[in-house]
Formats: sequence, C-alpha cells, structure tokens
Amino acid sequence: MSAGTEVTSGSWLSGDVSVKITAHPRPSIMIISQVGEFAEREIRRIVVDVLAGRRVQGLIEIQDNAAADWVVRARLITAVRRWNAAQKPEGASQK
Amino acid sequence: MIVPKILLYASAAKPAYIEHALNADADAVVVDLEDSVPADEKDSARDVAVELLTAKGRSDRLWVRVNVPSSGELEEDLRQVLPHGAAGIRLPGIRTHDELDAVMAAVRGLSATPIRVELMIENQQALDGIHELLRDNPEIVALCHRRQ
Repeated sequence: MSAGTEVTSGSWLSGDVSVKITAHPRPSIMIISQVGEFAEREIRRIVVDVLAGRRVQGLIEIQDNAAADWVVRARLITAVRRWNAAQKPEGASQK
Repeated sequence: MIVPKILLYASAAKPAYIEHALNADADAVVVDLEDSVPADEKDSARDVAVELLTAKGRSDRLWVRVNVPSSGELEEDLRQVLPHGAAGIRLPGIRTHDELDAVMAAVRGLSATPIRVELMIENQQALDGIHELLRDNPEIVALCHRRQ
C-alpha cells in the first residue's frame, strides 16, 4: 500500500484504475487510459476536482483500465489520503 | 416496504464487479465491506462505497454489508457510508441487545434517509436471544442465519 515516499491505490483489473503518488519537486499528473484521450481528459477533470483544496506535492500517476468516473474518484481520494498520512511524522495513522 | 429477495454481493475491493452486479437481474446489490476486503484495504473500500452511493443517488437496490462490531471498523463504516443514502445495511456479528442498541443508535443518528437493516445471526448467543434482539428496533426488516 505504501512504502517510504510512494503510496498506491486501486488495481490493474478491468474496470478499475491504479493510482500511484511518488515524491516529486512539483505537483504533477500523468494519466494513461486504455480507453483513449477522451477518457484521459475526463480523468484529468476528476483529478482537478478531487485535488481542489488538497495539497499534494508529488507525482500522481494514473493507469486507467476503463474505470467508471466514481471508481476513479474513489481511488484518487484513497491515494491522496494515504499520501497525506505518509507525509506525517512516524506513528501517525495511515487511514 | 419491499424487502429484497435476491441479493447479489459485490466486494468493495473490486469496484468493477459492482458495476456488473448492478446490471444483473437481482433485487439488490450488497456492497461488501467485510469478509471480501483485506484489512489494509478497508479505508479504500469505504471510499468506493461512498463514491458509488454519491454517483448513483438514492436507490432501493444499493445495500452495504458493514463489518462486525468487534472488528474496530464498524463505527467508521457507519460514519462514512450512512450519510450517503444506502437503502439498507446488512449487520453481521451482533451478540447482545445492548450491542445492537448501540449500533442502532449510531445508525439512526447518521442516516440521511430512513434505512432498513438486515440482521445476520451468526452466533449461538444471538440465536438464543433473538426475541430480545428484535425488541425496540423497527428498522430491522429481515433476519438471516448462518450456521458456524
């Protein structure tokens, strides 16, 4: 789930999406979707929406395998929470 | 009041299966937060349930099976999921009337809309005290029994 400066959520299963956040000098987003550019634009819109008000100083990598919008949102929210928990001092909850 | 007869379980750890389940000819889909979800994915499973309920809106077909009281996950399950309008919850692992009362108080306080509860009778203590368990809890619309 998390190791040092990397957290993940989701999976590579069909209909799911894999999200990985790693340390990076500035906030960045990389999206790859098997469905194509339209899906990548939609996912970028969801990312911007989910990240509104949440600061993530890292690279967000998203590998989409034809996930529904609500699945993308759920996986992103999980990853961002895990990332923020991983940035807290040792002993803080990961949930 | 309609109590679903055919319930199709889909793990919240595998959200794609939930979409497939919703397209099946079942009375309701039960999004499972319990046995099918690994311990380190409980937080992710709750996010899946919340985003599903938010996206689909209020539906009589969307139920959630929460974790047992002794798991330490039930309070968070209820706190996160209930405000988003599940039609009902399946409640496993209850043993006593006092335990059930505490859960039902949380359910009433957190539900955005009237909610139905199916009580899963999974231990001898609950079976022996079943009449007492049902007292004063009108939200319980069905029982199911699993012999262990």
